[in-house]
Amino acid sequence: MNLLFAARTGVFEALTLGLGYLNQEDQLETSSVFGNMETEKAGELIYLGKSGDDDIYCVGNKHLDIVVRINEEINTLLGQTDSPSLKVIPVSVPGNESLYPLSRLAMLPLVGSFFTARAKSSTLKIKDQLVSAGKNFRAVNPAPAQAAAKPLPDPR
Amino acid sequence: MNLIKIVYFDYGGSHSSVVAAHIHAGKLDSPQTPPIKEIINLPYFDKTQKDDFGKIRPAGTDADGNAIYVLGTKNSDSGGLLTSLAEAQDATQEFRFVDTMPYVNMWLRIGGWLSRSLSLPLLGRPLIRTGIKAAYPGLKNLVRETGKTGLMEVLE
Repeated sequence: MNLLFAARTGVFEALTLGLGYLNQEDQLETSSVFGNMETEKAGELIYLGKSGDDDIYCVGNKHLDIVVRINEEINTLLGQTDSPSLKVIPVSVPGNESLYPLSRLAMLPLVGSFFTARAKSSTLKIKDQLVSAGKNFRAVNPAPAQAAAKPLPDPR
Repeated sequence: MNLIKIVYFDYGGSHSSVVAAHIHAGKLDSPQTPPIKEIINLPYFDKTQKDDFGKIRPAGTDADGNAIYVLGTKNSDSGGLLTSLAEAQDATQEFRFVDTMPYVNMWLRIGGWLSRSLSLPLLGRPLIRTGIKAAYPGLKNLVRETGKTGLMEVLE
């Protein structure tokens, strides 16, 4: 099952958590997506990589409940309510309310880059929290390929 | 021929998307242009509740048998999100998302806000009527562009 991490900001919070899930958090600051406001404006799912056979995405959206519901509705129309091919994981970051307004200001012409830098800095302050949330999610919901990689019992 | 699901969407799923979907479904076939009385009596028209956001609601089928739906996303630019959600589910061949936001004029914005957000339909609906009259030709053209064979008969 493919996974979509959805947060109020895609190229800051959701990206960091998704990279944590993939154990690729060291790539955050060099990622072309980190703080890329054109990507954020587009509002599309951002592909992060594979975990086993599953595709991992992230997205930013102010209304996470709506993203979850639309995905459920698409699953229903596709007749896959019992085994959805894409699951949305809504992510909220308590105590970090400034990041969303900063990301909106970062979309402004001329002064946007100043706020992008502030938003990046604000994300890095909570990077450990986001990364560990991603890793914890993976620990609780291991990818099928990880489970298959367990050593087989000795046949003797 | 593969039948698809055609989803007309806008911010509220209450006015422009409802009218476009019902034009496409052949439910607005009055020679009067625009058929305001028929429009006002359409299911969902100016009736969206908070719980309806994100719900993909059926509006009928077109002349070819494609299913037509209405969606309110609580966002003024959701095309990228919807298309990429379908892509992540490998369902791009099954869905077509049609944005009616470009046809939402000032009258529809103010009228819709008064009627739906402030629950003042007595004030909002006259403005919505004006807005729909202005938007109707554009919505008909949008449906024509979106449409399949057989649709032209509906629009003539």
